[in-house]
Amino acid sequence: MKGRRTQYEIYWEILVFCYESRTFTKIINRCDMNSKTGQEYLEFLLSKKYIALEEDEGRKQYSTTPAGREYVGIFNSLYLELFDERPDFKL
Amino acid sequence: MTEIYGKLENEILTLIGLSVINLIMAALTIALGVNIATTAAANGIDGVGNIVVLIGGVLIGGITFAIAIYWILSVVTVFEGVIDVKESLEQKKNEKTDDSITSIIVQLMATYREKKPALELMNKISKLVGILFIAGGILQLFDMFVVGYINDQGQLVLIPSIVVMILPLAMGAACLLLSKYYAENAAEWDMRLAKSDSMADSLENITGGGQ
Repeated sequence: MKGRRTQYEIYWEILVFCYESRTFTKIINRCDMNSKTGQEYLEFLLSKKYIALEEDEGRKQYSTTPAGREYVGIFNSLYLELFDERPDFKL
Repeated sequence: MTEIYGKLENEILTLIGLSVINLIMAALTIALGVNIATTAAANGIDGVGNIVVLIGGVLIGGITFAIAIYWILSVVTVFEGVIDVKESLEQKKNEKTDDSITSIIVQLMATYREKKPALELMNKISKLVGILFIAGGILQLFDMFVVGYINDQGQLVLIPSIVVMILPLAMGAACLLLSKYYAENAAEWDMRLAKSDSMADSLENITGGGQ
């Protein structure tokens, strides 16, 4: 995703993408990050137990935990409010 | 869910429409800028009209042309961002889950944050061009009604087309209206961004602080 995202938006994006187990490379490519930034974000999410690290045949993969899905749910409801409350406008 | 999806679609189409109208206005601005400058220069070469109108016309036409180029560049910047969001919306059209709709909202917010300087530049240029066009139109009206095109026999030899005189005034009014419309929408978007900042505080409490 291009554009200027907040760190919470990036957490959300990673967590949604990791509903299925994903490798580090796929995550940083999908979320449009460099590897250093990607590592920092994943370490934070691991520390909060929002994602879990699994190892399968020597391949490390990340997947979203139930706590991570809860974060996604809260984020969704907050952001849906932004368009739910404001009147729409059109040309 | 369908309602929010519909709102998103409307907003994206509005942004696209705004960009297209700006692009059209910028292109017309280039054309009219060239027209004002060349008409003034041609009249000067023919010895018609006074020096003030000649210099004023060439200056206004030249400045308008240069500003229109910047205008087009800022519109293109905004347009490519909005088109990306539209493509995402089309791809997720049949999903309509919370995650897919939030994904569009996040992308739209991120795009607006990134393109906000270009949007503000578009707005300022639209306002400035509006004023320049009105100034150009007034100069041409001055030229016609005050200076006139009178030959030695006292005959009116050249009457500029009414459309050519009225067009800059109409373009100026359109540019100012476009600017006003943008300002109203920008206020909505700024409120959304402010609200998302306050949401960040809630999310910070939930996560126990970001990085």
